[in-house]
Parts: sequence; C-alpha cells; structure tokens
Amino acid sequence: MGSDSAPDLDRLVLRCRRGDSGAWERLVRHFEALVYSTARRAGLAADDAEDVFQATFLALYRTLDRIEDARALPKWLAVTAARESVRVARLRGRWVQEGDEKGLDETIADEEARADVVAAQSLEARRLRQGLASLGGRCEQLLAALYFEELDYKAIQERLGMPVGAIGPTRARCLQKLKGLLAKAGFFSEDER
Amino acid sequence: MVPSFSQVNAMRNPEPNDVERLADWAFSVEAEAPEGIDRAVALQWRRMARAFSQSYESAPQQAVANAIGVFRPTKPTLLARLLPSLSGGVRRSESEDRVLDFEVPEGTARVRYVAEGGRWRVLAEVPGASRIQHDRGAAEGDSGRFEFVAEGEDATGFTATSAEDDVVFPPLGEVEP
Repeated sequence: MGSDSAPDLDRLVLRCRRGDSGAWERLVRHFEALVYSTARRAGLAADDAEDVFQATFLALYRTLDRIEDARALPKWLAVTAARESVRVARLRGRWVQEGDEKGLDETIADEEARADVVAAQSLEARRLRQGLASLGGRCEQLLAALYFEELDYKAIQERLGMPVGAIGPTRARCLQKLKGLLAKAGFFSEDER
Repeated sequence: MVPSFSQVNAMRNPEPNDVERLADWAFSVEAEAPEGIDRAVALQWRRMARAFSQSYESAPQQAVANAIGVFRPTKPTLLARLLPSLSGGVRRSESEDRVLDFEVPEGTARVRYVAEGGRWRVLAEVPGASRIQHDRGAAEGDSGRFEFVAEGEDATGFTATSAEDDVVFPPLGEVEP
C-alpha cells in the first residue's frame, strides 16, 4: 500500500521542525490531493488552483512551529485552502457584485463546517487509489474503468478484451482482493472490523 | 442461538456468489444489507464503494515539487560540551599533544590536538558527523573521522555537520581549563 498510507503526523511535524526535508516532502505528498481538490471544488481553474496549492503549503510551512496537535492538520489544510480559494476567486473578479459579500462569508463558513468530512473523504479516496495501484494489472484497469471512468460493459469488453459475461464475476473478485489490501492497511475503522 | 465458529467465519468470508451480491449492493443505494451477510462486512464493502466516488484530484507534479521546494532545512547548531571527567585535568603528553572528549548528540567525540611546530594537527572522531568545517576549509569524514592542520591554537576550532545538527567545537584555547 505504499509507505505513506498512514503516516504518524506528530512525528512528521516534529521532524520538519528539526529541519528534515524528507519529512516535509512526505507531508506535502500525503496532503497534496486534499489541498488541490479543495481548490478545484471551489471552481478554480487549474492555474488558480496551483496558486492556492502553493499558498496553502507556504502557510503550513510558516505555521509548523505553532502546530499543537498534528491530528488537526487535515482540517487546517482544508480550511486554509478553502479560504485561499475564495481569496483567489475574489481577485479574479468573482463575487464582485453587490451583496455577494454575504455569499463569500457563507462559502467560507460552509467550507469550514465541512472541512473535517472533506479531509477524511479525501484521505480515504487517496488510500483507495493507493490500494488500487497495489492491486495493479487487470483488476486495477477493470475497477478504474468501471468506477472512475464509468464505462459500460461493452466499452470494457473492447478495451480489455474481456467477455461481457466475465466482467461481473471478475469485478467481484477484484473488489474482494482490494478490500483485503485496504483492511491490511487499516482503511476500515475499528467499529467496522 | 449462538452461531458456531464455522458459521461466523462463513459470514465474514463470503462465498463467491455472496461476493457478487455484496459488490452489487455496495455500489447501490439499497439501505438493507444482503440477506445472510454479516452487517459489519457489508458496511466495509459500502465504505469501500463510497471511496470510489469521492472527488479526488491530484495536483500537477510541478506544483507538488514547488511546494516541496518551499522547505528550507534549518538544523540546530549545538555546542560540543567538554566532558567533566577531563575538564579538570587535560592530559598532556611530552609532545604537548592534547586529547579531549566532548559530549555530542550522537555520543562522545574525541579530538586529538598534535603540536607540529607552531601548527596543530587536529584529528577528530565525531559520531554521526559526515563533514567538518574549519578555518581553512572543509573536510569530508571517513566513518566520522576527520583530520586537518590548523595554523595556530586559535584555528583549532571546527564545526561538525550531521543529518540532524551542526555541532561547534571551540578552539583549544577556549576549552582548556
């Protein structure tokens, strides 16, 4: 599942404070999709989302010495990225009409309220993709085609050369394998084990 | 009636047909888990299915590289501390050599100062250090061992660099009692 499936955030932050650039790289890679997805979900174009991405990680870098509980990092990043997204959107001329200030506040408030859920979902999606990559081969291709690209069985038959009648059972076996990998990586919470 | 171990095991490891039913159910909007399937197992399938639909977009590689590049390593600089056992009486051989032990984060460093006319040859063993910096330049280490020649006693100080920190060893005149 890759070495960064469940990093010890407290330890990573501590290592960053000590000047360990490897720990910083791991933090960035672990949270990159969370931050970038937040900006894109806010409706920003790719270039603007990259600006938000840089600004958010720069803010994190400047805040490293003040983080008291690293478990709050996902939420902090989601909120920071959401606020930065609104700021960038404002600079680009959105929300400029009279009365839209309330819309802005509401947008930020909504993002903050959802930050925990968004952060958890993003990290869950990341771990799922890591599991899928570990699965590899036909299973990875099949599940990605079915659930990310949402291709129908006929299109999958053409792409993967798999008989339509075999797709269902193969899908089930692949999902079961994936579930096993995810379970080993601690994907499922204690109460669902 | 309490189920047997084999029954419980069967519920947690579904048969092939059950796996297909579970897969169908997990990606559906049906609330009730398939009949005869352990509810906890069914919920795991549902959670996995849900993760497939989470919005997720990776940042471009260049953006990730730029964010990684924001980091500027700042290693702490520490002062090597002369060990108390020797600070009260530095050993002096007939050739005026001095051998001092210092406390460093990785253990004990030993530094030998050998008089060579008006100059000093400094031979240091500093655990964990990969490099030292002295007045006349730098020296790469061989398993933490370093050697350089100082023009005078004031130039015998150096800084040892490791992955974790920089440790300053003061010149001989400043550490001798």
